[in-house]
This record gives sequence, C-alpha cells and structure tokens, in this order.
Amino acid sequence: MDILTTLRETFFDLDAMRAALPDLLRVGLPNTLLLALTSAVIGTVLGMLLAVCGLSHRRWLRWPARVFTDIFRGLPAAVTILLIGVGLSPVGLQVWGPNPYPLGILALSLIASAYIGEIFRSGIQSVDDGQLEAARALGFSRPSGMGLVVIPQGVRRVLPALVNQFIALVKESSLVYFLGLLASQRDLFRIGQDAAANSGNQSALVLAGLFYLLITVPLTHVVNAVDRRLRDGRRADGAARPDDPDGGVRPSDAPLAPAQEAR
Amino acid sequence: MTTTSQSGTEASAAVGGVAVSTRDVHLAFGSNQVLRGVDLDVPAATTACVIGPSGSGKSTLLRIVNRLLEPDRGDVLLDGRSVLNDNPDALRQRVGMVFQHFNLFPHKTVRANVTLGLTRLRGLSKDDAAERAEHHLERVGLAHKADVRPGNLSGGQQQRVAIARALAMEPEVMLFDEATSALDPELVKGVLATMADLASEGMTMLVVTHEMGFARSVAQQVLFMDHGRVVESGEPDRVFETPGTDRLRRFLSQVL
Repeated sequence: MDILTTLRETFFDLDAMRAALPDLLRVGLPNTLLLALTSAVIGTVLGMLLAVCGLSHRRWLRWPARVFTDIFRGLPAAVTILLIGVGLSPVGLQVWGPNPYPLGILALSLIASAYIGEIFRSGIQSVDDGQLEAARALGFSRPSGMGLVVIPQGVRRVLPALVNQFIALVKESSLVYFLGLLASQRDLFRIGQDAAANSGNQSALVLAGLFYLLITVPLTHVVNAVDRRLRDGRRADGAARPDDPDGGVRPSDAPLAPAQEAR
Repeated sequence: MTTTSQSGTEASAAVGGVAVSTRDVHLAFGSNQVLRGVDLDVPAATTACVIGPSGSGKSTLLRIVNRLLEPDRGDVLLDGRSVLNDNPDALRQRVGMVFQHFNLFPHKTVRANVTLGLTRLRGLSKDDAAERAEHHLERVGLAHKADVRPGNLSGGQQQRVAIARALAMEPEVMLFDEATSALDPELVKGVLATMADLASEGMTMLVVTHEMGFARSVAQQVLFMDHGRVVESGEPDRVFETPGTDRLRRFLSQVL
C-alpha cells in the first residue's frame, strides 16, 4: 500500500501536473508540433528527391543519394543533431542569430529524409515495369511517365510506412534539447523534464508523455485507416453489385471517381 | 460482349494507317542475340500477324518498331521514312501499343486513362479530351464504364479500354503484343472482334498472337519467327496450308 502511494505520488501527482500544464500547452506543444511538422515537410520533399535520384539511371545522381542515405540512416539521431546543431552553429549564428531551431529542424529533416527516401524508393520500385512502358508507349518521356504514372502509384502503396515515419519524427524532435533551448523554445519533453527535475517528481514528465501520445496515437489510427482504404479502396469505389451483371458500377454510383480525374 | 462494327462509319475518319517496315534489324541483350536481321513490310491499312514460339523475338520486334528498344543495327521505317533519328516520344505518339497485361493505370479512372495522353501530350482541353475518350470508349463498347477504376473491370474489358486508350491518340500504326494471351477463354472473342473491326477500318496493324484463327481470318500476311529471324512469311492460307519449313510445320502441329 505504501509503495503504491509512493508510485502514485511520483508519477501521477495531479498538483505537479497542473503546475506544468500551462507551459506544456502554451510553449511545449506548439514547439514540438513546429519541429515535427516542418521537418516532416522538408524531410518528405528531400526524401522524394533522394528516391528519384536513387532510382536514376545516371550514376552521378544515384551515388550521392546512396551515400547520403547510408550516412543519415546509419548515424544515431543524437549524433546527427549534435554535429549539425553545434557544428554549424557559428554559421547559424550569423544567419539567424542564437536560435537552435533552424539547425535542429535541418538535422531532423536530414534524418527523416534518409528514411522517407528509402520508403518512397521501395514503393516506386514495387510498381510494375509495364506501367512505365505503357506511359512511354503513349508518347510520354521517361520523367513524365515516372511523375504522372509510376510515382503516384508508388507513393500510395507506402503511405502507411510514411505516417509511421512521421510518428518517429514527433518523438525524435525531443532530441533538439541537446542544442540548448531558451525557456520559450522548450518543447514538450524539455518542459516535462525541467519540471520533473525541479520538483523531484516525475508527474510533469508523465503529462508530457501523454501529450506525445495525444499526437502519435491518432496518427497510428490514420495509418490503419489509410491502410484499410488502400486495401479495399479499389473495391470501395466500384464494388460489384448483384444487380449489375457487368460487375461494376454506373457513374452515379461512384461519387469519388470524378475527383480523381486527371487534372 | 459488345462488338463495335456499328461504329465503323463514324470512326473510320480517325483511322489512317501508314506502312511499316524494318530492315535487317539486330538486337542483342548482352550475349543473347534476340533479333538476327529481321525484315518486315506491312503495307498501309493491312494487318500482319507474327507467330512463333516464345523467346523467338516477337515482342522484342514490336518494341523496336516504336523504339521502346533501340536496334543495334538496321532500320525502322514508317510511311517509307526512317524514324530512328526522330524524337522517340513523338514517334510513339504515332504508334499505338497494346500489351499482354493491359497495363492500364490502376490509380486512374477508365476515362482518365484515355484522356491522360490527350491532355498532356496532344494539348486537348479537358472537355475535348473527355469527349474524344467517350467516343473511343463507345467504340469498344465501354463508355458506361468511364468512371470506374480498371481494377473493377474484367480482363477483356480492361484490354478493350487499353485499345481505346491507344486509339484515342489517333495513331497511324497499332502494335498488339499478345493482347489476348492473359485473358480467360470466354473474354478473348470480344477483344479479337474489336481488333478485327479496327483492321477492317484501315488501321495498319502488327499483331503478335497465338490466335491462329485470328491470324487466318484477319491478317493479309503471317510471319513465322524463330530464334530472332523471320523464318517464313506469306498469305495466311499459304503459310498455314503449305508450310515450307520443318520448323514451321513443327510449330503449327504444336499449336493447332
């Protein structure tokens, strides 16, 4: 009973949580979201670039992409963040002043792009060769065929894996605390940890953890929903109906279809 | 299964086949000599069927004609003019191709499959492209499937959409690469009927096929290929009734 009380007070002290809540909500949450979102966007763009270069027939495009991927996928995230955030900080200081965020975001983006590039690459590679051949037979150049036909299909197939990567990014964003954050720059983790260190009570950190779950758990459900939709999406917009001898749908039965029309 | 003979008069305006020839075409993949000097002449508005065992180079020959593969040696002529120095993308807009496995774009509707090349390559407006797609889907009897994804169509329907997609580009030549080989037997007829209609409308067609009945009734010329060469060619009746080589006799005894 005694131990249980101690545990409850250590991890679930409501007063300690209440004290940390305003900072977590007003400072930590926006900062974590800012870090994760911007590096997700940059990482996705860079990742697509890496995937396309990695699949290129030109060795001078393929090679740098492979080396880049090996490095940033192979290094521990903490090492990358420190090397870039601290190592480049003299440059950063001149460009945007003593703010660790740009370099933190850069480091997170580079790490994410290495993983996302591999995800895109595997998706694009899984598309049947006949698709590009058919596009080229119509008169499309190889790049247009890739862009209009192959890549859109490849990306669809790896959307679940992509969302998983975004989840990892939300968690990894906590590592920017290595770079030293001003009070207003602290993310969820740092605020929770500071409060825990000051009070000797872990409850604020538990609350910070709950905030992370609040972001990541819905994302996992997005993964599942996307996965489900992709799995039976092809049925869902044109399921065979018993009253249709052709086994398809009439135009009026497919409200989603026109939106998918080529632009 | 709908056939499209009734639409012939309206559609014939779009069909204007030109002659196709190859001269001494060679191609090797590494040490594997796939084509060893192929000469071919398909006069304008006629159909030539290419038959032969698998691995004989039939599909490779088709891909040389629209330069999905470049020959190591030899020439390809459209309408009497060499096309090997043309822009390959522009050439492929003049040569339609239909594949064994249809290769429709599964993430796009049937209509979008047909309009993609029209809007992006031919510069048609979205409405004009949709109208032309409608016309060509009507021709293959599938206009009512325009809003459906290819995955919801039978193989035969998919292949007819693929034919419509190629025809919408208004090609001067059509290449068919075993267009019915992947189809269930009961679906073959509809696709062959569509192809026969197209031939009768004056398209120049080069057809790689295992359908000897089609070769016999539709083609003006049958070419038998083996080991990268045209071993024997001629009018279908002659080729099928009085094969001049042992190799063709053996092949025919296996497939007929």
